[in-house]
Amino acid sequence: MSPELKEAYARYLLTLADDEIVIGYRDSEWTGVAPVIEEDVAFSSLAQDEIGHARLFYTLAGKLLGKDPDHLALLRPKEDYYHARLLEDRTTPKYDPGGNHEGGGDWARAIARRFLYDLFDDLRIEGLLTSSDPELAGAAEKIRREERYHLRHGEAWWRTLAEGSIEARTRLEAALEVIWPDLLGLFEPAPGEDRLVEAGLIARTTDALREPWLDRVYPYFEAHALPFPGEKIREGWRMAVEPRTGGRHGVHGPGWDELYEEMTMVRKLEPEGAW
Amino acid sequence: MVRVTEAEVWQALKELTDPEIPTLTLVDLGVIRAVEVGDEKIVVRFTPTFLGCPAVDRMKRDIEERLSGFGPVEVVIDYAHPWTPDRLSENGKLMLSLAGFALPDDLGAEVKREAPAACPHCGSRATTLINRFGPTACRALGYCNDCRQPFEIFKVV
Repeated sequence: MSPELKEAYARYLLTLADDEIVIGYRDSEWTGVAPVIEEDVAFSSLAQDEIGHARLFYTLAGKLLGKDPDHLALLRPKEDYYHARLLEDRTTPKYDPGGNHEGGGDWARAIARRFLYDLFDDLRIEGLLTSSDPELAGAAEKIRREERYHLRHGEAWWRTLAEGSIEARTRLEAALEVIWPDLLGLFEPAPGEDRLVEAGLIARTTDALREPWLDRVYPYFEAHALPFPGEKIREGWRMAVEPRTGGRHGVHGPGWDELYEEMTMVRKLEPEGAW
Repeated sequence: MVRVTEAEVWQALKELTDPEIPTLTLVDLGVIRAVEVGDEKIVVRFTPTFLGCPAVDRMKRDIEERLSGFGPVEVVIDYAHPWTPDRLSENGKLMLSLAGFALPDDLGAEVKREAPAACPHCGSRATTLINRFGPTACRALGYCNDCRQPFEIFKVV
């Protein structure tokens, strides 16, 4: 593998890993405060799966870079994380040990983000099944099997919120309006993805997933007459929303400032600690 | 220097059990994919049921400890060949059901139906899936409409 290809591949693996650890961490925050106890269990499990996927991608990246996966996960500088910005915001109330928790939290936003991200991730993983790296191809197969449970969970909640009480529906619509720019930001590619396609490591670049994703999510909006900020014309989807990008280059928002401090706090106290 | 046969290694591995289901051996669970006995070391290829399974490190340690008397041991997590339910042995399926876990009817590649298999308590098929997620990544929750007992389902992934 040429040094340029190796660099691009490691960067791509880190991007995958960062997406998964960030949504995994954020969704784990629902443990104990979800609307029903089944969802405490479900979100804990979903989060655990995603962190497991992150661990695998950090392990593969670590092999290329000669680095420890835990180091890659928890000891990189804050601006060297490449997850999509969609994933970094907190959707739960901010916990305060004194009992003065801040903000109400937004279950609708948590569900909308998770489901629409899972649909994106499914397409991305599909493009790794034929990877020329047998470890990545095998991992993709495994991840897809796990993710089927996530998609079914997401579909059920999407329907519940869209067709449930007026409050649920209103909240879902409001959450979607907020996250659309970040949803479109998912398709920002990592540097050097073209090289990976050429080498057969991935089937499609991340920006090439935009059209198939829009084709796939549109019916979920249409089925429940949810507002959809775009239309399909002959050339493809024309969206009325500008994507918010930067995540794939380490540019993030306040959600990341908060999360980075929290998720790296313990590790920084004892960087060489064994767990 | 390694002085052991592959069969002896497998025999030793049969003593190890799943940390969360102690009646089920790792060999019956199908997470040990291969054993290679070389001159310098023993390599054990391991494939977790779920990538995020927190018991993986414990199982890895158990394998290393059990085999350490035979020579240097390396446990390699095999990502290229993922675990699938057809890796469960017949005895493994029996042990799971004796431990109170239902197994889905279809252990094939696709999850075809939402309702789980027969109730592990009474055998009734009038069951409902309560939650696709359970106390660990590899379990879901079901409920028997006949004997009115909840039960756990070993997931198909």
